[in-house]
Amino acid sequence: MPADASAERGRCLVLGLGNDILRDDRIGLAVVRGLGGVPEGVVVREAAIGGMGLVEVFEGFDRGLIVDADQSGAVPPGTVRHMVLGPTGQNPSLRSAHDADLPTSLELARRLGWHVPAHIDVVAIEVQDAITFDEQMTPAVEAALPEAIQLVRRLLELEPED
Amino acid sequence: MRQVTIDPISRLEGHGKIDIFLDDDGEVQDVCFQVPELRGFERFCVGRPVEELPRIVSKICGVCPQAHHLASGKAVDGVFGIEPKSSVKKLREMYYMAHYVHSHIAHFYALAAPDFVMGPDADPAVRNVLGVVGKVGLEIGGEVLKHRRFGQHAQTLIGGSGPDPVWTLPGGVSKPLSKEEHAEVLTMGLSCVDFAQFSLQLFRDVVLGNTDYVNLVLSDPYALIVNDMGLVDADKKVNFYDGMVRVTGTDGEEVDFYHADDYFKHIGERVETWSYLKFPYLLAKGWSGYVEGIDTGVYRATPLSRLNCSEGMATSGAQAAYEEMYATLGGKPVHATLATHWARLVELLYAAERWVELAGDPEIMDQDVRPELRNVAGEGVGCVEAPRGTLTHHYKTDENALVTDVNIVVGTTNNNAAISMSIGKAARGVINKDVELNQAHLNMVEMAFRAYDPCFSCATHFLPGQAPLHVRLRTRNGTILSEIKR
Repeated sequence: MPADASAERGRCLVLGLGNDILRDDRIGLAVVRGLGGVPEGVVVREAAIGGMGLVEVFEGFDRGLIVDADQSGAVPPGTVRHMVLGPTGQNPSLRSAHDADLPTSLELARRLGWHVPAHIDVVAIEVQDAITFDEQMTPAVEAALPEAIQLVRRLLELEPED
Repeated sequence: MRQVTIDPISRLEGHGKIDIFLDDDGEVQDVCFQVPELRGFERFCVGRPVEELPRIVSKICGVCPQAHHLASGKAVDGVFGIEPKSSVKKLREMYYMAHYVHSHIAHFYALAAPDFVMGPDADPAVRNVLGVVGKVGLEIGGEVLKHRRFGQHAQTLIGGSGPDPVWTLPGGVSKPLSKEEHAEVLTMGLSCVDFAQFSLQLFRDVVLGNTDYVNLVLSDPYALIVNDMGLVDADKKVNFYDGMVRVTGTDGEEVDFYHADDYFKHIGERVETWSYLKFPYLLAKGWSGYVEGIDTGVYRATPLSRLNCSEGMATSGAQAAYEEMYATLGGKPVHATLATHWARLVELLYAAERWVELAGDPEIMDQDVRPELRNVAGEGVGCVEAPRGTLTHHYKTDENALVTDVNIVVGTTNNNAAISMSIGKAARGVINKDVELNQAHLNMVEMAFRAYDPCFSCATHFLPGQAPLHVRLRTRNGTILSEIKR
């Protein structure tokens, strides 16, 4: 946890989620590793946690952006989507089987007076296989890497909209 | 025949689910509990230096990486033929107690308490930790998050890293404890003892103070009469980090007692065509099917099992809580699945008290924690009690300590048959031809599953916003009659 959460005020956290030894599950990590330079005020981190643990990571930040693997089954592997986690967002569940989900945890933190982002952007990349131990992604997901990086950079206003 | 599917694991759509089969009369005929199995782990490990495995296995599971890390570290100790010295064992155990505090707080307040504080039939929109905090007070919510965080922060201070531990080395650990870290770890541990006592009092007030809940906990649909397994110390008291494996029967008598190195001589593994996961059973009893009673080979490895198969707790407050639990529930052993939540709180207190006890041990400040390695024995078994059950790692290597074989038996695997049976009993108690299935019924079935806190060895950041619970009623030919999601 941050020694002094107030040190993060005014800043944006870009968090890559995933497991880099589970094939496509590493896409969130690959995206943040590929961002290149980010301006002052943007912090890039990696994690493989969920629920209340994620809230602790976001504590103190004004803005948040999560990059993660998605397995909705609703779109083809490699599809990159943007969602918003917040009071008016689509609230992807980001559940943990052993913990409260992220929206619930964020709301609890707000009620307790924690300084957490009001909205968290989520860049979700549809995966094909996230249960096989491997350090290589499937071709469709690997091919989505540039698009996902570009989307994150646009959300950070590092690149113009088309 | 109708089919009811409960799918609480959206990340792994189509794999992890509960299928409840109903006969033509609408009564529960059969139940299948299926969990996903991550593929290719052994192949991933073979050929790697074995000392890398504690860092790799901590990525198997986003829920209990510390349990895998320590079991793996102990197996690697064996591969190098080295017995860690007392100070190293104590450091590792203190680290592990902080993990238990973190894990048990999360489960009780996020998953167990909503069923009792809000009620098992409450609207799912309020049957969560927010509902609990709304009812018991915001101040308590702050204490929950504070002590959960203490558990995590203590691990970071002791082990030098966050959720993915990289701390154990063959026979040792990568860093000792500094004076400053020690002072902070001790302060947090003392606070966790108080919070554990508070949590037990909350359980007394909310659950034991409500006759309906006590009756529910003790009701037949939530009972399972099978054997109990857990690690015990030299006094046969509960230990999470080290000890002998003890198994007691449905009457509480000891039926097996062995060193974890010999697990394969005591545990058989049954394979079913409908499940990815094996079904371990006691070789001392043999496989007699998914049956309860004195002759069954099915066992549980859960917080309740650990208390059932031990002679008590090794710290004073936890021992008092242990005695209170058995006095209240009619003596040992207790087979009420939902009493697992109470046992988990007794363990929470034990973990916090043991954390403080170890912090007070002079050996904990030993600065010489990295032994010299001299030889390769080539094989090692490491066993700890994961919060969700007995966890065993078994490695073989060549003469250069490169991995040739890996076998892991995780906590939930031990409980596979018992979870299936518990779900079946709960379903039969809740669902029948006269019931119009609704959310409350589903939750009543899921409560039997949730008590085990089963771990699916998967990442914890499930992204899909799909329903966490999906139930479908089908006719014999597959036509969906009704569908419920939440």
